[in-house]
Amino acid sequence: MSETAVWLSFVAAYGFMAAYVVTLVRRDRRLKAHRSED
Amino acid sequence: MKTRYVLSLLALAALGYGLYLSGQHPPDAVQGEYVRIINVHVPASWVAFLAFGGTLLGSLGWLATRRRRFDAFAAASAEVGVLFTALSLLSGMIWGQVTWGIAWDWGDARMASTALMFFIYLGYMGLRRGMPDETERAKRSAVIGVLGFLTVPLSYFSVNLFRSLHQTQSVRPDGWQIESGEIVTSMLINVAAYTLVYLVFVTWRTSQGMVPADTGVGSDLAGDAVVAPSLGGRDE
Repeated sequence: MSETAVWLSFVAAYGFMAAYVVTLVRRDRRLKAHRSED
Repeated sequence: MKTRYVLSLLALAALGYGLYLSGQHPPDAVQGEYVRIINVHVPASWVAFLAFGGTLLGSLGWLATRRRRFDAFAAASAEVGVLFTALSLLSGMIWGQVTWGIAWDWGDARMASTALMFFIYLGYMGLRRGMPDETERAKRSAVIGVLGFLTVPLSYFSVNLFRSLHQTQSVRPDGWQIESGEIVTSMLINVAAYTLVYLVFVTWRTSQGMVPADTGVGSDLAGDAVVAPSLGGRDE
């Protein structure tokens, strides 16, 4: 149980950060696509 | 752009080193292996406070100068702050479940005040999402950005003001809560790493928020998870 709780915390931490990076990259791509339309 | 790449590399290296140290330090005499969660919980909580401090400064900056960059920075910092507050709450709940036997207790001042802080800044993001007028949005969110910051000292000092389940701060001017120097070093390296991650996220997100609002992309600083409320009788 102790290992599971510790692993869960670290997976959540790096998972949250990775997910946020994905949203930032996707938003960058949308911005780039919008600029190329102009 | 180049600064962000350098910061990103530094953040990745620091995160890697922090993760390595988190697995290397000895278990705590009282908490055992669970003490390793401190390497996530304390840095996430620190960055949440730092980020909402950034929102306060950005809001004050906008109120004083009306410059758009301050508004974009305040909103970006709030968004990153909400992310790390969620992580702080989640890691705290995991730690609470295995050590106290309870994941959540509304009677605990630290948990309740942190949840309040989380929902206020979530509301801040929702408000921005629902306001198309740029100046009005900046004005109203700046007011919330200033007033909302009151929840930060409330959350931080809640463990001193109200004695309940949550222990007092791990890092205090009069010393450490933790005996082992290795655990403290590991926690501080992770605090530094998470701070670098905050700087990367907030500069990146601020640059996206500086895009003119009429493009309809990147200016909705509330984030994709928040949907504007449907206002009845109003032309959308």
